[in-house]
Amino acid sequence: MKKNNKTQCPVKEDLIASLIDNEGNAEQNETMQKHVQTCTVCSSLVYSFSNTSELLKNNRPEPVHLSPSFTAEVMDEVYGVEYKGLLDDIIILSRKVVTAGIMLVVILLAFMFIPEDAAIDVITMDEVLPVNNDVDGRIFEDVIEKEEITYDDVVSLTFTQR
Amino acid sequence: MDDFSLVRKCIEGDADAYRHIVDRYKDRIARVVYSMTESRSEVEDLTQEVFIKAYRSLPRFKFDSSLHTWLYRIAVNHTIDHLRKKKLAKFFSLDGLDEWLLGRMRGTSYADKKTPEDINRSEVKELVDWGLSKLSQEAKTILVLREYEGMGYEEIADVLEISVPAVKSRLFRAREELKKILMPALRGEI
Ligand SMILES: [Zn+2]
Repeated sequence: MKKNNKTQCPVKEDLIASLIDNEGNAEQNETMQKHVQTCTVCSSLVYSFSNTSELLKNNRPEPVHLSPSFTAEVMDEVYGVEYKGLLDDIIILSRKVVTAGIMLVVILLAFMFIPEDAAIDVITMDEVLPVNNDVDGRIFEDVIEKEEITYDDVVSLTFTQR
Repeated sequence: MDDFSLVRKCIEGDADAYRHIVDRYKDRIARVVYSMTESRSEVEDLTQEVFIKAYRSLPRFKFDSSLHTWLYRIAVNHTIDHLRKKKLAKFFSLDGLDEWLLGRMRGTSYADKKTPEDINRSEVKELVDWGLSKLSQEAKTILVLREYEGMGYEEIADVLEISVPAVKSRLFRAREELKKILMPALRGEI
């Protein structure tokens, strides 16, 4: 059979692929087979593609040897996920508890170490009493009604007295 | 037990079912990962990542494709992703430059080999590996699935999420690309 010597062929590339891989329509492949015998463009493509395809098939890599613990490691990783989630929750919760505890201690310490003169404006009756002894009972009467007596009260009282 | 039943059991929380899936497919997934990366040191970690990813995506598994092609899809996508990141990292590192310069200096030469028959088996392997490493990622992936994994067009289409005609034309282009790389080497032009 005489071959044509064109550099281009209108035959679709998918037909060449189907022929090489022996996929698709058998009738179509047979027609293509006949065409290849008469077309230099297609025959050279089929020849070189079949060769490289053959090269690759023979070059198929050896099986990969995974470590014996491969599956166990995957299982640890995927089923550890839920556990890890729970663990994270516990960690977050304990952090909150610790933070709250520290804050409580700080507040308590603050109350313990507040200087007494911070309450400078308020004086108890006991502190006023010695003053009371020196003052005229009549003038002091209306002041003593108050539960809390301020310095101002005492000062004004003392001045009134003197 | 068949794949779909195993998947259902997994989704219900049966850990043993997933162990079965991993044992059933780990070697095949490892081989496709290795074919794409050509790295023995990375294959174990990458394959593990594929199964971890697969487990997390299991609730979204649609029972319209086989578990086997679904796992392949995750493996191919994960590996391409990994290679892309690696390439980017290499591009910005000095190691990449060193390797490139070394490659230029050594020069892979097959000049004294005239025909494929003159080259012995290990050299053929070296040549084909070299050729594959020069291919675009797209071309390499489809050739690995077709020639190494022996997948049919429908299956490849399912893994790569493209149509069968797209598989045909992509395969054609990939073979053309490989031919352009290998032929000069085999003729001794490189
Ligand atoms: Zn033709």
